[in-house]
Amino acid sequence: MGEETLLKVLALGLVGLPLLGFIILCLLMLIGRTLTESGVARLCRSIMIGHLVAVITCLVIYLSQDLQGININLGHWYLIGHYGFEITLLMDGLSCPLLLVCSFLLNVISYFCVRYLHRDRGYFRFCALYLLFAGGISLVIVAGTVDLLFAGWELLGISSALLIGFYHERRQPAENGLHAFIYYRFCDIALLTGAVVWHHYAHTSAVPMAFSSIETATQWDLSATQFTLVSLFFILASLAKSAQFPLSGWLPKAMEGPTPSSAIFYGALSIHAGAYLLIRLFPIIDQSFIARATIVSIGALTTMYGAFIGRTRSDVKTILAYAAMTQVGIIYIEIGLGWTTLALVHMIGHSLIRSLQFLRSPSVLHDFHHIGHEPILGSHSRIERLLPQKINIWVYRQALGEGNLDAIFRVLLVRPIHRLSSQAIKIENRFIQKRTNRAGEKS
Amino acid sequence: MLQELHTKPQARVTTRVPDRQEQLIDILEKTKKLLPEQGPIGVFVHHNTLHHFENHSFEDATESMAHTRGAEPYMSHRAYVDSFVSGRISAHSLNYVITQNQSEGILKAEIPAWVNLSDAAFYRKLLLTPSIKESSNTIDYLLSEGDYLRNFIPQCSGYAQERIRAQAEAICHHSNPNRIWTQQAIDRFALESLWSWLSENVNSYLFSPHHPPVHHHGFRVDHRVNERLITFLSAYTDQGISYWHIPYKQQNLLDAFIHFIQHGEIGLPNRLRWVNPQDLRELNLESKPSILLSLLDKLGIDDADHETCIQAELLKLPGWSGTVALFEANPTLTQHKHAALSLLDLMIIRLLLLRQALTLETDDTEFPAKPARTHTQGARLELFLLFQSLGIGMQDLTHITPFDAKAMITLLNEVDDFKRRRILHQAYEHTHKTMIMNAVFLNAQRHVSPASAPHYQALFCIDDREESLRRHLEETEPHCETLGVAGFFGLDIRYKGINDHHAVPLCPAAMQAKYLIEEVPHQQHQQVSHLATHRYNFVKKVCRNIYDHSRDFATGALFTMLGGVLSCVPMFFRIHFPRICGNVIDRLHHHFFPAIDSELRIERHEESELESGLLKGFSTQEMAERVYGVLRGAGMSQFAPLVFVIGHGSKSLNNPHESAHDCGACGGRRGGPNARAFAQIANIPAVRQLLAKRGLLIPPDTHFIGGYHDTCSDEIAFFDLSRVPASHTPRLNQALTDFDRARTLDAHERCRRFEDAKHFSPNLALKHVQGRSQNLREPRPEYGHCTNAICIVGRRALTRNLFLDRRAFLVSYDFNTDDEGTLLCALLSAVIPVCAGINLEYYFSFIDNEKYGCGTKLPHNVTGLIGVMNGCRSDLRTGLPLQMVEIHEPVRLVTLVEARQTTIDKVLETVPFVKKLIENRWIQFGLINPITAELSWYEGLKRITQPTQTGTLPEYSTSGSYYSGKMEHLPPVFITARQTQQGVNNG
Repeated sequence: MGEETLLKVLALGLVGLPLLGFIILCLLMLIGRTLTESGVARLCRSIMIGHLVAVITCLVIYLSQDLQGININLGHWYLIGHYGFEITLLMDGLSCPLLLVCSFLLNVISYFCVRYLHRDRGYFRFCALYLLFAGGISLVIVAGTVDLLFAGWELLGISSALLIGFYHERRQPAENGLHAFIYYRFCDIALLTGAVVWHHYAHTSAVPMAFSSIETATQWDLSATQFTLVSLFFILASLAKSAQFPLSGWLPKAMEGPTPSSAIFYGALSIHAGAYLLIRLFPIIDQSFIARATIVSIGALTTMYGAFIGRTRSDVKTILAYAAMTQVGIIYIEIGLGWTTLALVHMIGHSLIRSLQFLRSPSVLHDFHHIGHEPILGSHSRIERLLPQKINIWVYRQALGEGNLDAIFRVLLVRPIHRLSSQAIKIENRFIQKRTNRAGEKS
Repeated sequence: MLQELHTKPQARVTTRVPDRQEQLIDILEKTKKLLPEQGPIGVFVHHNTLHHFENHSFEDATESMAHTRGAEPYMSHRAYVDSFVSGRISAHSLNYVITQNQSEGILKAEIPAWVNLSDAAFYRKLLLTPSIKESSNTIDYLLSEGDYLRNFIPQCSGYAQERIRAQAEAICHHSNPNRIWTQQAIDRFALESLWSWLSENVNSYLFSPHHPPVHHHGFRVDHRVNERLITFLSAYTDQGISYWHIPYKQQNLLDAFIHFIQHGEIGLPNRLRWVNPQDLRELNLESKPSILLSLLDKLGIDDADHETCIQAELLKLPGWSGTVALFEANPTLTQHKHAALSLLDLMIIRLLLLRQALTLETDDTEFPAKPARTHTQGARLELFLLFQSLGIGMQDLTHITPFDAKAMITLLNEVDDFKRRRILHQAYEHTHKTMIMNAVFLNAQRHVSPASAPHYQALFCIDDREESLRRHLEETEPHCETLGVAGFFGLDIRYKGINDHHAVPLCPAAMQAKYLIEEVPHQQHQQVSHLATHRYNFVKKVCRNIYDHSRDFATGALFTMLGGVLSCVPMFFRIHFPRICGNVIDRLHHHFFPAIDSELRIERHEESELESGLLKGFSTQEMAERVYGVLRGAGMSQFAPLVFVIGHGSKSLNNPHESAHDCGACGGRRGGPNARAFAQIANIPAVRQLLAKRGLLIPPDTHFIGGYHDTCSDEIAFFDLSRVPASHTPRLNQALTDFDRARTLDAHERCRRFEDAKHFSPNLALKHVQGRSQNLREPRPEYGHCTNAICIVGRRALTRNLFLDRRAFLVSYDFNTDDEGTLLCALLSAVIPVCAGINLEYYFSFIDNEKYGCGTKLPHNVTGLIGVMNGCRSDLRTGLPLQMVEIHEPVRLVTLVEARQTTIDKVLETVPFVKKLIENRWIQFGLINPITAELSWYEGLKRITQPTQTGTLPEYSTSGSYYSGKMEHLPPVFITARQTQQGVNNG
């Protein structure tokens, strides 16, 4: 009993602590007070250390229970008829290792940030958003229901967009933040729809325990088409966060924030959120061949896309962004093929190495001085060498233009919607104009 | 003014009217001068950001750039007001510059009689009144929400406040005797009444010059053009980051672009194309100016507008345009990969992209916000602030007519924002200059040159960061002598270390290195060295493989899956224990690649031994010349048994601007090899014989030792210690202990500026700076030249035991050894451009960090190994980052030379660019005449004698006892050190 209460407290703590920190900082900002820089740093650091302690304790309890997944039920937020918003957290073979890596990275990078951002005007804001992100990612990982996961998903999205636009006094970061946010929102709709449809068919919003497809799948009484439909929604939902093809145009543009925020978001954690979602929901996806085939093809397309473009880039952070995109593409392939454990291992390894590379990226001149200025890849294993000369140039041009994805989206999606909404505004204005004119006449 | 600035130097005597194409070329040449000029970031060479404008006065140049590029010319008005309030600008200096400007006719308006103040007093108040640029609505908001109507402004003196208050109080008590009037209420009443009087009686406008933006196509069009241009340019100029090189890289920029588009855009729909195929077909590739001309015609731009159009277009990406222009002028800067750039090509590409963007972005309706209209509200507010400073109370207002107020606004218009800030800046500099000159002058009077022979001597670079190390060394061992010479030690060499891939130039950027110096293993170590090199190359290759493959897709998957988890170990330790981690890596390095006994191959045996166009080493004659030049130039005539020659550089991590901390005299590289080579040369007996013939006698028992000082970690390494004669060992050991102590204290002094280390003890401070240089999370590993402000050329006696706060370039020169003045000419022509370049780069990067500097370095992204961008596609950011300049004090270099008047006259005659800098006030030049003991300085070329100073400065026993616990800039003081106790050095 005691252990169960402890687990509840810990699980709540590891999600709630960062969010509490965020709320405290926001309230302080709201009433016009600020802490000193070292005060903010101390708050941020101690929350992160608390987070790590909670995670390790959870892990120990999980290990002591013979690796049985633990469902921590914290009750309902509200109940309406058949539907209840359950607050359930999950400790299983997927969330525990990921939480550990996540907490480790959050700790190391928060330690990095508190010095790196010294004297920056946005220090306070950065730490607040960092805590928001920490809460969001923890919630995504431990969420036991799709509804709860959605909440974490949103926090992740908003903190990511705000940190891209961290230097909002310049136009470009603000615009790129918005750019990423639009992609996120597009996929959030898919996640929400997926959750509703899933609830509609399966009468539950609980997410399945990971690595347990056989037993859990039998609980649900869904037809193959229903499984496919739900899975496709979830796949679409996962694309933007993981910058998978064709929703990947925002990723290179996201490198506008301070280096450590690029590291934790686009090297380490946020970029893997989509892959995590798929592994988490794999028992559902597993039921549909079409869904799995879709994941594999998306992964393959992204890998080729990222690999080709990444090779033409000449700035360190974009190369890393595309390298990350490529690896997540491969992780998608692994998931689609059903190798979820491998995908998990890959994900953990990748997030660690990539965040280190991001953190070190300003050292590139220093590093090249020691390891030489000539890329090995430039001379030996060139995939582009396989292409005939004429096509080679054509492909290079498309790679340099990032496959024109942004332009295509602008033509196919943004413009029509923009036109539609401006028409709507005109109609609305005309309507209001008439009303006000009439009102004016009356009075 | 701008027009004037540009046309003057371009004026030519031609009878033929240039045709349209030639005009275009002329325009491009002119535009180049507006562009920043910074080479690849890997070898950062400091230079005056506005060095193309050195033919014009400093003030004209900065203010004209404010008009063209919208960059700030001076600090904000607020900063000057704060400086005045805090005493950083002294009242004396302000009065002085006001008088000066009045005599020059810059402040010439007549002051109304009713003000009842002296000219100086009135102008002081006028200058301290901020000019109002806010819009009407903002002013209304500020008045209702801000403090304007509650409190007096800080520049309003106590006397003025009392006066206004007293007048208001009388009225308050008179109108409402029953109420208890608090001071706040009275202040508020006074201020509100003043404001309402102004609202009723003032209807004049403030005049604000308005420069309409030219050739603005809307944000989306420019954004589209910029994005594509940056993508292409960064791929084309890349020096080794990308794995897949752009096709046609061997061709010049335009040809590469055209071929790239021709073959790369086949079959694309028009919307996705970068360039309209019609435009591409119509290009007449024979003459590039004619292409540009036809494109301008197609865009419908008149000949008269060509200049504004080209200028505006190129200034949309000043960093990239500047880099292209620089690489065009100096193709050797592209060290690793070919790139044939030209500004003309860039302009053509830009217009091609622009044509297409204009056809695609038809619905781009965004235009820049309209400039704020001139309005009365601003005039009222400015007057409101001025009246406060003048102490005009309610009773005074009854005597003032609206006409008087209008006249006052005319005056405010006359002394506009730039003028106010310019004069305040002059005062800001004047206070500093006077303080420094007096301190040096007083210190010079204290000293008599040391009589006793020093135990050892040490030659350092003139760098401002070595000032503290020298001071601490002398405090530790009063029996030593330190000198400052340019850190390449007269050796114009290219150097190749044992493990280096290629030779790099180690001399000032303006010099062409003609000699190759190689590091070679000692005879008996050749076998070992060969193996070590082999091993080194192997490890290098492994590292490169890991670097590349971890970013690739297939091998990357293997790496990340298998080795990814391991990377948490270096990540954790690197970030949490940077110093220990750095030490461990160093140990490992030494273990696997043990230091090999090596020497420099310096002597050239055959007269014309060449390698890749360079002479392999020096002949004895050439060596002697160089040693003579350096030692004589520094005024050395007697030699201690040990002479240290210390070069410097800086190593730090996560710092793309690392090389900006290296030695400027070595072309933005580390000067260790120069020091080592110089010491080795000076120890050659044949060289000494030649020197003796020229009158420079180096005693046979004098031994030179080369060394290297890392200004970031404060490590000092010495070269070839095994070759020091055994007889010198006790002295050497003592000297090494002194150096160790001095560098510890140096680290301690540096730490006073770091917020997280300001209270550390010396030993802890040393550890701290060592950690800093290895720290990935440290955006300011050192402050570099930040705070530099002074350059003193003269004997050490001028500055010895004077605390100069690491702000002074110290150049050794002895007027006694230079009767003809040739040494000083050579010295100043080398030193002044370098020091002024550093100083002015810091000045501009500080004044406007976004326009002249490169902004905060936290989001920087290294591109193509040539520069940094913000994010993935931005302009190339040139100049210095915020973190490097944040504690700087923007003053032009106070250059103080100790020399005879005739010598200085000769310098001004024979070194035109030094004269130019002095005449146009890019530096503040002063002179100490050692014969007459007279201090004077130059205003332009006019010499002004400073009345003789008496008095003294505060004295402290050690530097540490003065600076400890303080973070701000510290004025000079005398350091008594141990020499007073021991009675040495006082001759």
